[in-house]
Amino acid sequence: MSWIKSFLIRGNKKQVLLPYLVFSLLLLVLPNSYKREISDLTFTFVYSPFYQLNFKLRELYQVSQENKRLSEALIQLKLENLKAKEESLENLRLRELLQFKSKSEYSEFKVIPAEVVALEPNRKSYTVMLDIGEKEGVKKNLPVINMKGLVGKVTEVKKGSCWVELLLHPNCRVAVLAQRSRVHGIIRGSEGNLLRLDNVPFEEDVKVDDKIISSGLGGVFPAGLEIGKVKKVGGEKEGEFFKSILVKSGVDFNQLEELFVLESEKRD
Amino acid sequence: MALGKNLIYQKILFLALILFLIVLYQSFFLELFKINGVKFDLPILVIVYLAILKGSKDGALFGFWVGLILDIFTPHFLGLGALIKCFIGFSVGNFKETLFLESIFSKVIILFLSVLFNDLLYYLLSTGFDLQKTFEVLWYSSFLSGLYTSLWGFILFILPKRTSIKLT
Repeated sequence: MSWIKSFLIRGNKKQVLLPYLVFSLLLLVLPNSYKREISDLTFTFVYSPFYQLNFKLRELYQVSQENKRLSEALIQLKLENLKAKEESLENLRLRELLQFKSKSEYSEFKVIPAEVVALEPNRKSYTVMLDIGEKEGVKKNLPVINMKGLVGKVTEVKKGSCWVELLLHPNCRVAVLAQRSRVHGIIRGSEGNLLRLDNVPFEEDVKVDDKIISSGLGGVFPAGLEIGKVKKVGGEKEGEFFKSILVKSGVDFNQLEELFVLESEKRD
Repeated sequence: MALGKNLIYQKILFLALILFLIVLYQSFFLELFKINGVKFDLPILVIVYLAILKGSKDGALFGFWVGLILDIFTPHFLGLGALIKCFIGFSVGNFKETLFLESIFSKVIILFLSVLFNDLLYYLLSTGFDLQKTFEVLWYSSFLSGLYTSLWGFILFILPKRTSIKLT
């Protein structure tokens, strides 16, 4: 066993280990608060710049991947849009052949982007203020949307701002139809963030998850704007003529930030 | 005297470079080199490699500082990793000087045992000699990590030796 001793401690080599041993033991017996402070300080100066750089690089990579994915989605949507335009033109041609009155009165829209700058100062906000007004061409009753669907309509216009009445507002009514079964009804605000679909007789075919879109009847909202999906169908009680249908909007009315006002160029 | 000072500066510079390499690895590549959760123990590889190359004094020096820079992540045991790695560097250097390790396989085995020894001591001391926990870590993590690190060590040891910076 002498070789073990000889390789561990040869001559003055034990003196080499001594300072490290003393320093390590000193560090070990330090109070935890001091140890934490030393670690935090060293981490901030030694590791933190590298970790931050690593984080930024990862973020950059993720953004680049997202960008790639969105570019692909954009191309896909462009193709779909092209196809939809072709079908729209075909539809127009067929309508002309059949001598139908054109329903595409809202086909040309100018989209005015806006930001929500104020909410109605009530506990429950039914109206919001946008940072655009007459100067930008906003007029009363123009529909307001976001990426998730119909948000409401303009009710009051000033020079540099306007008020928008949300779909949840008790006074707001929208003529809608179920996309699958083409059943017509009227949407109005209900409790919470849900909407109520009225005027749907019992015998009509409306099911949970059916997509509800604006029908274009009434003249305020153009046809085809997404309202939401049917969440609950019920109310088949005796003496009632209509179904009780609740619709969940795709729009999160508690987090409205960027909205778009649709201005129909054929409206005037 | 000037030559002696130059050597000290060289040694400090080399130590800084090694620590920079370790910090870089810990920050950027630790996850990248993991295979199914088995980590590549670059710090031990560096300590063993330098201890074999430079001897026990430098082995202890590099072991201590590399251990200390890693102890930052476990403030409660600040100094423990430094002490263990310093001891490993010193012991491997002594092995080299005493037993004249020349074969690549003996170096790889020393590296493998160093990984196990490092984890064994660290977990024994940090868990208050909880043998069950320590051997669980050794069995499920350190053993595979040792093999994986030894593989990298094998690649490093078969690389042709270049003129190294004379540190001592």
